[in-house]
Amino acid sequence: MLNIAQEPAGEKTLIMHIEGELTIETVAELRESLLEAFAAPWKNIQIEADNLSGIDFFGLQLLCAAHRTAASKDKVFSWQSERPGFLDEAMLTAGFTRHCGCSLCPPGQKCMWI
Amino acid sequence: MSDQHIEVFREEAAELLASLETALLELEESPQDQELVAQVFRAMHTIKGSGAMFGFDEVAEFTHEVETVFDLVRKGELPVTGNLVSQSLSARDYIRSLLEEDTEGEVDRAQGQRLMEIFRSMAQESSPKAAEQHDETPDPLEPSADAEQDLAGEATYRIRLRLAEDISLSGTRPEGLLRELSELGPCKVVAQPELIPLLDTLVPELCYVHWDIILNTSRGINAIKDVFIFVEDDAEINIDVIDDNDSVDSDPSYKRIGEILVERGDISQEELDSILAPAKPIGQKLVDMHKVTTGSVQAALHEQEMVREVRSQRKTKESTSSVRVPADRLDELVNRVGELVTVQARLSQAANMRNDNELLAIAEEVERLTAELRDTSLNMRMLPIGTTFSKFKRLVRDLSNELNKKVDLKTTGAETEIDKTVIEKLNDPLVHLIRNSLDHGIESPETRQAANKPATGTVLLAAAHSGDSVELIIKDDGKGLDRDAIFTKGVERGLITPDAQLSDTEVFNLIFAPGFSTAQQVTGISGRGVGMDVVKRAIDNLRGNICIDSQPGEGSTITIRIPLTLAIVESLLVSVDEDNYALPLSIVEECVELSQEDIARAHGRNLINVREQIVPYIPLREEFDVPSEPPPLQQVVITSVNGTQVGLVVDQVIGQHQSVIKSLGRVYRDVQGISGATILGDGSVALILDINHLAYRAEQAG
Repeated sequence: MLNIAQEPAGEKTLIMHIEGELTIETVAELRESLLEAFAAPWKNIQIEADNLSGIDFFGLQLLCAAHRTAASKDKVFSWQSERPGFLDEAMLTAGFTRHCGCSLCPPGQKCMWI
Repeated sequence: MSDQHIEVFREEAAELLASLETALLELEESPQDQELVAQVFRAMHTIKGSGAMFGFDEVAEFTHEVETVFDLVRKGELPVTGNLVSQSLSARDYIRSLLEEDTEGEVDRAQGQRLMEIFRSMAQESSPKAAEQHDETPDPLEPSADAEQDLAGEATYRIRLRLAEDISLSGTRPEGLLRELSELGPCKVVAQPELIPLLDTLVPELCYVHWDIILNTSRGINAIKDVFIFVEDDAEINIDVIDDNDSVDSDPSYKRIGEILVERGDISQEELDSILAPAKPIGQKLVDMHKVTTGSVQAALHEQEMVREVRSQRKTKESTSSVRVPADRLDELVNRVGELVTVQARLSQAANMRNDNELLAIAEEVERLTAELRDTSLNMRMLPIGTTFSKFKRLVRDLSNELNKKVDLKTTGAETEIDKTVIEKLNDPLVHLIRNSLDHGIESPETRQAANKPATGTVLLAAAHSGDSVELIIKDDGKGLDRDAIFTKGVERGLITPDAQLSDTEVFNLIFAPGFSTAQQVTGISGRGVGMDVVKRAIDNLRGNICIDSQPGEGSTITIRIPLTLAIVESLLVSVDEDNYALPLSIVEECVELSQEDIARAHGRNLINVREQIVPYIPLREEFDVPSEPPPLQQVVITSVNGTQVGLVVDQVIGQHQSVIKSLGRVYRDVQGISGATILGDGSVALILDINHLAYRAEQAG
């Protein structure tokens, strides 16, 4: 079960609150919401995942894809504040922990996984 | 399989079982500790694997059941319960009896069957899946995969994993595979995200990532392949050994990033060479030039880091590796060193008599070397006393269950080292003392609560070095000794007179007197088998001493002091007439003169006034029936035994001597007052005095 809520913060920023489990069962839902958000004129799309109770590899892959999409559209996709600490273990297991961003990551912008 | 190998397996298994017991007991206290669960699992696993390899099929078959259960515990499918720990401890005992069947006699096979049933049902309760796996008992004729893994040795693998995009359709979750890999050993996983499409073309249920994994494991390549057994048709898997024990190249610095990337096929050597000119980290340069992705560099960095780490660890391990030596060979070495010490004393004496400077210099050099050799060889026999502490944990656990009491055993100073022989001989007295504390010292939880004490009693077992001795303390917070009851019994037994003015320590020491065992039951100090006199004798035989302190309602403290080694002792050499005697230096307090006037002043009683304190003494001349006349000025060596001062009157104090202790042989076994002999530099023999017995005899004689 995944609950997604969108909350504009100023003119350029949209905050997406996600709550529940971001797994293979729910990634499609979030993808739809993200596609909508990227199609709109928001410059910054921020994820707030403090109430996320679980994430699997497909969840991580989707967030990675969103970040790459943002880079290609000259937008910024990032955590609303800090990355929630509980993600670290899932990232470590699935190998997402990073020293530097991927080839699409624009210079000066922080990768989701650093 | 040669007997020697089997013997080595037995020894190793015994060590594993000992550590298993400790781990199980700790697990009972902290059931959530995954590291302990893993430790128990590993121990079972190794016993099973090597058991099958060395022909102990029954051990392997039995251990398999326990291992299965701990595997489930490890995976979080079964909880750690008191029952599981109890059954596992029984299983551990059963495995030990199977291993020792040749020497210890017939094993109760029915008990083994019962335990196997219990573990099987535990496994079945956990999950139907586990029950299915259950029938796979290891084939005893073939070395099992586990045995194989142990033979394989540690190696570092580079694994490149590309799963089919639609892998999720088969129900496989990539993180499950990766997690299983990381259970094999230290593992670094790098996901390569470069092929993840943008959101508009992304099918979020497909897998676009591939992985570079660096894994260090001793489980062998087959264990890695087993992880991928269900996905091998839907995945591209490359496994390369990049470093192992047989690596010719053992340089801890390992390869450079460029070399790794070329080897992995991420870049060609030519491309690398052409780029190497400007001075920037190679990984950065390659990324800047879009030759490789940051993910590839990251994976290469992990590989470099892990192999370097493993190699440097291996180097440290090699330098601290140990050699297994039979204990009797060490004893032989210590004996030889003992003889050398004796010869060295002769050399020093001869050099002194000749007054030859060159010879004196050589003698001094030999003395220094001998002392070093002595210390080194004695150190080789030293073991941390903690090896026996775990046995006591078990004892306390079992006994408190039996007695329906709650007792917590705390230990400190487990790292204190002491001679192996001393540790072995300490075992029985300590078991007896701890049993006493539990049986008669610690009260039942109800009584304790009524007395405003915590329901759980505490027994502290502490060890610490103190000079050339080790001090062991057994302290409980039970009800303490009943001074009056002991005093009354002492009077009844004729050990003391009713009007005797005794200190608490003197009264408590009465329980060590032979023949006090019946009184012990009445006063509630002991009960089972050996009495406290046996404990005392065992400690005496170790040339140690024991004393008791107790406060009513607060508990008792028993302090045991024993010398570090039984082989060589620093002693004070004295003489009576023409005979020499040695006293352990650790108990000597001071030497004072005894003139004819002092003797006359005491009116025939063997007492001397030392700084206004009356000290009783034993004239050795009378004790050993030496017929000659004493010199006009004799010497009193004042010793302190169990807190009581006793003097020994001798003709002359010769000085400090390093005595190599020789036993007197069977014929003199029952001679009291003498604990051994030592050979002096001139080849003559000096008897080593047993002050405890001399004092006891003098007391008896009145």
